[in-house]
Formats: sequence, C-alpha cells, structure tokens
Amino acid sequence: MAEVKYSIEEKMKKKQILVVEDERIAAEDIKMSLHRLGYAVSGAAISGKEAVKKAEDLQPDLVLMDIVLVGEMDGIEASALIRSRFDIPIVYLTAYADKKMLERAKVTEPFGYILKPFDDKELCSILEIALYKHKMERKLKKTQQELIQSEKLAALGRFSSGIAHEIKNPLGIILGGSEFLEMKLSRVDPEIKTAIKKIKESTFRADRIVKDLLKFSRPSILKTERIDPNGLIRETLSLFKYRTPLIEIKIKTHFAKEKMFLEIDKSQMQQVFFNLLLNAIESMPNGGLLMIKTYKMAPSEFSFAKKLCVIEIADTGEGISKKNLQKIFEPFFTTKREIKGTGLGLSMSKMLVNNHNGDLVIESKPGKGTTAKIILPFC
Amino acid sequence: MMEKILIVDDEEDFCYFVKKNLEAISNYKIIIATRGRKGIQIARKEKPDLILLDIMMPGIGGLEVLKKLKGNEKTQNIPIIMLTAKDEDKSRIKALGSFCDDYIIKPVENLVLKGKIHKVLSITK
Ligand SMILES: Nc1ncnc2c1ncn2[C@@H]1O[C@H](COP(=O)(O)OP(=O)(O)O)[C@@H](O)[C@H]1O
Ligand SMILES: [Mg+2]
Repeated sequence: MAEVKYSIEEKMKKKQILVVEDERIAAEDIKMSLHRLGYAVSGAAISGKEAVKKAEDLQPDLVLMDIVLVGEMDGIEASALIRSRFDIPIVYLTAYADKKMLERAKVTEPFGYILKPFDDKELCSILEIALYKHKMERKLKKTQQELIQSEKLAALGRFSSGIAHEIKNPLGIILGGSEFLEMKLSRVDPEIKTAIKKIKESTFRADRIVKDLLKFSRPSILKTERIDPNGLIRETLSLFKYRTPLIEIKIKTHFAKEKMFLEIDKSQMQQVFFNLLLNAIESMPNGGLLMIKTYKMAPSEFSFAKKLCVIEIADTGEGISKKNLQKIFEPFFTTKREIKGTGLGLSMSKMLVNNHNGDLVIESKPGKGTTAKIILPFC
Repeated sequence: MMEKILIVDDEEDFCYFVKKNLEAISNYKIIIATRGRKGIQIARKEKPDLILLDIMMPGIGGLEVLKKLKGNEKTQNIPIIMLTAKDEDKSRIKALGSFCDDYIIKPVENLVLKGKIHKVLSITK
C-alpha cells in the first residue's frame, strides 16, 4: 500500500466517496479497491443526473467520476454542475485521455485524473492528495473571507472616525433646535410636543449609530480586570428591565458552580452580552425562553489556553436561515428594518471577543431558536 | 449676580441654540465667539466666569486656545469645559488634567449642559 500519512483523527473517520461508473463490473472493482484502502463508499451512480442528485443528498467527501456515462449528461457536465453547486472535490477515473477530453475536463477544475486500468497504490495516493488539497483550499477560503471581513471593518472604522465629527455637530444643532422649539411651543399644542419628542429620539438614535461605528476605529487596547462573568451577566440582564418589557420571556440561568474569573475588559464584554441578549429578546416577539449558561470547557487544538470558559445565550426564537447565517457577521447586515436594527451588533461583538483572544459562534435552527456561544480563555 | 459664560465654537447655529436654551432656564449670560482668536480676545476683555470651548475649529483650534488662555494671567483661572463632537477625544481631554475642568460630547441636552456648568462653577468658586 502507498505510503500516506494519516492523522489519527482522519483515520478514525472514514472518508465518504461517491462512485460514478456505468459499468457494473468496473464499479464493483472500484468499490472493492476503496474498501481495501480504508475509504467508505457512500453511494454509487450510473448516470450524470443521478450523480448530481446523490452528490447533493449524500454530501460525500469526494466524487470519483467516470466520464462516459449512460444518459444525456456525461461525467464532465455532471462534474461542472456539482462543482458549481456544492463544495465537493472531483477525481476523474476514465479510460480516455485524448486531448479534447482533457481540455474539457480541465475546465471543471478536477482534483485528479486517473487512467484505467488503475492500481490501488495509484488510486490511494491520488485520492489522499485530492482530499488534502481540498481541505487546504477550504481553509484558505475561510481565512480569505475572514480577512475581507476584518478589512471591511477596519475601513469602516477609519471612515466613520473621519465623519463622526461631521455628523455629530449637526446633531448637536438639531437637538438644540428641538429643545428650543419644545420650550417655545409644546405648551401650545400637544401634537407639536409629540413631534418634537420624535425628532429628539431620532437624534439620539443617529448619535448611537455613530457611536457604534466609532467603536470599529478604536485601537484594540483592552483595560482588563479580573471579573466573574456570571456577575457581569446578571448586571447586564438587569439593564433590560428598564428597556424592554420582558413579560412573555422567561429567563433561566445555569451558571457554573465553581467560581470563575476572567481577565476581560468589563465595558467591552458587557457590550457583547448586551448585543447578544438584545438579539435573543428581539427574536422572540411573542415570548419564549431565554437560557443563559456558563461552563468550563477543555480547549480545542487551536487554543493555547489551559481551559476555556463558555458563555451561552440561547433563545427559542425564530432562528436564522442557513443563507442568512453566513451573513450575520457582516457589518450592516440586518433583517430588522422595521424595528430599526443597525446590523452592527454581531460584527462588533465578534470583533470585541476576538480582541480578547476568544471567539463568538452562532448556531441556529430555523423555527427552533438560536444559541450564541462566547468562548474565552481563562488567564 | 449674573454669571457670564463664553462659548467658543465655529458652529454658529449650535452657539445660537445654546445661548437661547441656556438663557431660558438659567441666569447665565451667554457670549458667543465663533473663532479661536476671537475667543481669546473676548476672554481677556470680558473675563467670563466660565468658557465652553470646542476642540475642532478652523484656524486656531481649541487646544491651542486653551494653551493661550492658561498661559495668560488674565485668563488662567477661568474654568473651562471642552466641547467635542468625537467620543474618542475623551482620552485626549483627560490628558489635559487640571487645564480643563470638564468635557461635553455633542449632541448635548440643555439640562445636562446646565448641570455641568453649574457643577464646575460651584467647585471652582
Ligand atoms: N438570536 C437571534 N435570533 C434570530 N436572528 C438573529 C439572532 N441574532 C442575530 N440574528 C440575525 O442577525 C442579524 C444581525 O444581527 P446584529 O448584527 O445584532 O444586527 P441587528 O440586531 O441590528 O439586526 C439580525 O438582523 C438577525 O437577522
Ligand atoms: Mg442586534
């Protein structure tokens, strides 16, 4: 067998391969080889159409694709479709290697090309390289996306710092003018009083948005102190008593029994709790359960910390669709036009938690609810 | 006695409303200067009881004005409240120490403004 090094974790979880081959005997042959080499065959297809369907249903780790197939769609067309719809790597396994075919196949960006007849050693090394390459590509894409996101945030910060002055000055005048009118006119007509109140409220709202924007431009200098996260959550929760009527929302807390202390910037972390609690409450306009948990967790391979603290804020609200879940950390992304969301809560919270060498993860089941996890290292 | 307050800010309309609103709810008399240089002149001549001083102004900026006021014996004892439109100026202002008695971030409500002026006046008297 080929000399390929597996990591322990990968060895434990067999890679799922979808085999597309229209000749029964050849297909059996391939399946047997795959089993011998330690892969799992998640399914088999004989036509291009079936291949696309099974790729979608089974979400295999890799598709082993014959080019000449029964039916209208050949293997190259099927691969093009699979590549454009799902992030699944493809390796061609075919008896043909004429130039025209290779040219066509190239366009679908295959992760490998194996000529029949093949031997186990060859199959194994090509599959391993393909799987590894795909894993790295994914990682790269993710890093790139994060980079774009943080670049966006930084640009936003620089931009807003420049214009904050230009916006807040006129706000000062609007507020001064409204208060002037209030003094002069509100006794005359209650409608004028209401109108002025609305102008003032909007002024404060614009002011809040500018303030939120400015947080992006601040250098990430933390004023950290030793803080009990449970206490800080209680404190933040109490802020809501005055803000929103929580009549229909039940709040349950499940705090870790042992004393926990984190080295955090109090006002920044409070801001994070506040944003997350607000999102949870806003997701349950008809009431529900707000569950807050804190617990210790063993570190993942990516963290240097000895132990991690997890703070979970879970709601039983409307949840987030799969499509939106990819966008929630983008600045200005909001689905709350009616209640005037700024779309800055999560992007900012993520940045603040990252500044603490931690991470913010959002999991959601549409219709069931959403769980936000703040993961912070103990010092 | 009627206390004289000088506001130095290049935003004319802002000064106008501060004057109107403050005078309506207090005994203060508000004098306006919309340029730094003018502000220094008036301060020397009128000896106000307190100065509201904007940081970002064209020409001589607020911090420069502050330095000149504190460096002149005629004006060095006048308490000063800095005005700014930038939250991030907070730390810069704090660094001024005893040179400035308080600060206000725009937009500001009339009652808050009056409260701060009152507080600074009663401490520095
Ligand atoms: N707990 C939650 N439940 C459902 N949707 C949520 C939740 N938290 C965030 N979201 C979604 O993410 C979007 C972005 O959130 P956020 O950045 O806080 O901005 P905003 O709350 O101002 O819209 C929200 O508009 C909403 O669609
Ligand atoms: Mg929000």
